[in-house]
Amino acid sequence: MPQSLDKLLGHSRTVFLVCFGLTRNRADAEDLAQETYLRACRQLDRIPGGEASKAWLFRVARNVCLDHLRRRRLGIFSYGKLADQALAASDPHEDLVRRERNAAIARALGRLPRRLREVLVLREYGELSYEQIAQALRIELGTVMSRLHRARRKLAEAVVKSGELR
Amino acid sequence: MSGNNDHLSAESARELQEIIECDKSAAMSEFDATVFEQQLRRRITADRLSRHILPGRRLQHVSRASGLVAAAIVVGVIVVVALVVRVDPSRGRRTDPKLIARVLAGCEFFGSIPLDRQPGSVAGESHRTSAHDLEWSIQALLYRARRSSDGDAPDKGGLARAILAALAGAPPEASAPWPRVDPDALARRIAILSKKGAFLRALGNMQ
Repeated sequence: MPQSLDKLLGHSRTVFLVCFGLTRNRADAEDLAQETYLRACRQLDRIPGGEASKAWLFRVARNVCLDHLRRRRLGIFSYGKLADQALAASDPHEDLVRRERNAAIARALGRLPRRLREVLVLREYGELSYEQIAQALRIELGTVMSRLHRARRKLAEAVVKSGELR
Repeated sequence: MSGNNDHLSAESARELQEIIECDKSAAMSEFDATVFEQQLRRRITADRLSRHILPGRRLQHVSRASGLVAAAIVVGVIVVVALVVRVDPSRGRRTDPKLIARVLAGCEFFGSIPLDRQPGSVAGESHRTSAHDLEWSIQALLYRARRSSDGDAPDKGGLARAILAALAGAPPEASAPWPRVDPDALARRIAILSKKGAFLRALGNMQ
């Protein structure tokens, strides 16, 4: 595997999480994360050096996910079931609370407009800095901050409505 | 939650962050980075080989008309080859892996390719990969070759190992001398053989 791609593989977990955040389907997310790296491998000569490579990779991931959603004509998220068995708590009540919270965040994310959603997912699931998000989405830093602010506010409102947040 | 959360109380922001972290943990619970990387390596190897063997992806870059003409030619060749193989009375139902080694050893293209050729001199790129990936790649080639055939499915693992032994320069009866073989040189041979259709021809001769 080329060295530049080897380096990018260090981000595989966050690439997977971004794909999951955008599609809300774990099986799809794993496949889309693979597709992201496959596309990156086909464009090795276009991978920028240094820190910019991370933003570039997440731009590819975001495009792969958008293509996927477009192909499936979803437009909105499909709320795939979360396979919670691996995290099943010993306390049934705690388990139920966690499931309800996951469902609430999935619904809340799904209701966010795409532009707000992708900024929030890149920040919270991809753990990108504001500058990296600006590079990945090719928007101004100020736009990133304002979209992120609006996304968080809307997300909190939606989760509060669901009763999961005070 | 990372960053500022204006209009959100500290308590709400903390709870929201907890919910997001819980969502991430649930998503990550079955994600295995090692398995992910292994699967990715295989997909990349298969992707590169398929770009050498099949014109499908390249056709995307030429005009639609040229693509149709090329597709018609490919279909014609496949039909002719299929007919020739079908009427060949010597065609057996079972394949002897050793036979592959003999066929490849006598193959014109195979014989003309020196193992010490410099990296990058063929197909413009080197193929850095492990012995395991090479074996898997050959299995992928065999699978592609067999997919259009209606013959009995042979032991693909055995065939792959026999082909690998032949590519490594071992006598047909011997096992592959892996530790003494340069994976790059093997990969170049595979790329050349794939590109020139020698694998498919060897398989055709075998049957």
